[in-house]
Amino acid sequence: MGDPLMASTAIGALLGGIVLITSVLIFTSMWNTYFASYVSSLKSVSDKIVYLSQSRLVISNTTINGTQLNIVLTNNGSTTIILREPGTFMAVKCIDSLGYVIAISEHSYDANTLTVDKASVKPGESANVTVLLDFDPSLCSSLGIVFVTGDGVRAEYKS
Amino acid sequence: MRGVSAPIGEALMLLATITAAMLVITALLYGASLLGSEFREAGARAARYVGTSITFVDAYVNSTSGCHYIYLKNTGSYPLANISSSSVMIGNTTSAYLVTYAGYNLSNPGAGYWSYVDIEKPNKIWDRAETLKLIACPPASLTPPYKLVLSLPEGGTFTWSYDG
Repeated sequence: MGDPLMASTAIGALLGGIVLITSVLIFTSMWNTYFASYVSSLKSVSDKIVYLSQSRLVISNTTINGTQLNIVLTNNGSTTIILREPGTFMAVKCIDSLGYVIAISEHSYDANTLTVDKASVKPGESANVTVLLDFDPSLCSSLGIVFVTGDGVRAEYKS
Repeated sequence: MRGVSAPIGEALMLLATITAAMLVITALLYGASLLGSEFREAGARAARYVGTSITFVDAYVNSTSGCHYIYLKNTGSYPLANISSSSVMIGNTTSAYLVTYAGYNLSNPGAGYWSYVDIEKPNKIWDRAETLKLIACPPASLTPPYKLVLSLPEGGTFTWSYDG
C-alpha cells in the first residue's frame, strides 16, 4: 500500500490544484461577465457622444399657412442625421407680447402629427417638416420652435 | 490484529482527505456561485449607470399657475421605469424646492407637486428616445434663470438650467 501520509498528501495536492485552477477559471469568468457589460455600455455611450458632437441641425426657414407650419431643417454637421425615427419630437410655443407662453403645440413622429419629407439628411442637405398647430398662430407675437430627433439632436428657432 | 488495522487506518485517512477536499470544493463552488451572481448584478448596474442619459429639450412656465413644463428625452441605452419614485427639485439661483409627486399625467398638479407624462407611448415607462413632459409646480413664485434637478430612483442625478 505504501506510505499512507505520502498518498494522502499526493491526493490532497492534486485536489488542491484542481480547486486552485477552478477558482482561477471561475474568477476570470466572473470578471469577464462584469467587464463585458460595462465596456459594451461605455462603447455605446462613446459612440453616441461622437455622433452628437458631429451633428448640427438648424431651422433655416419657417412658413405659416393658416395653422400649418412648415420648417426647413438643414444639416450643418458632418454626419448623417436620422429624422424619421421613433422619438422625433417637435414643440411649438405661442408667445404673447409680454413674452409669456400662452399655448403650446406638441407633435411627434410616433403619433403621426409630424411629417418629414426625408428619412435622413446628409451634411449640407435640408428637409421639410410640416405640422398642424393646435392654436391660431395669428394670436401669437412670436413662435418658439424646438425640434429634436430620437437620438437627441436638437434644433431651436424663435421668430 | 496490527496487520489488519493498518490498511483500514490508511483507507480511513484517504477517505478523510478526499471528503475534506470535496467539502472545500463544494464550499468554494457555492461561494463562487454567490460571488458570480453579485458580479453579474454589479456589472449590469454599472453598465446601466453609464448608459443612462437624459437630454433637455425645452421648457416653459405657465404665467397663471406658475407651473414649469419641462420636456426631456431619454437618450440613454435603457428604458426607465418607476419615474414616480424620482426626486424633483425646482428652483433658481437663490432658492430650491423639493416637490412631491402628485400623480400621472396631471396638467396642473398644484403648488408644491409634480407630475409627468411620457408623450409618444403613454405607458409610464420612459422608453429609449421617448420624450417626457415633466410638470413641476413650485410652492412659491420663482424668477429666471430656473434650475431643475431630477434624481432617478435607479441612480443618476441630472441638473438643467433654463429661462422658460
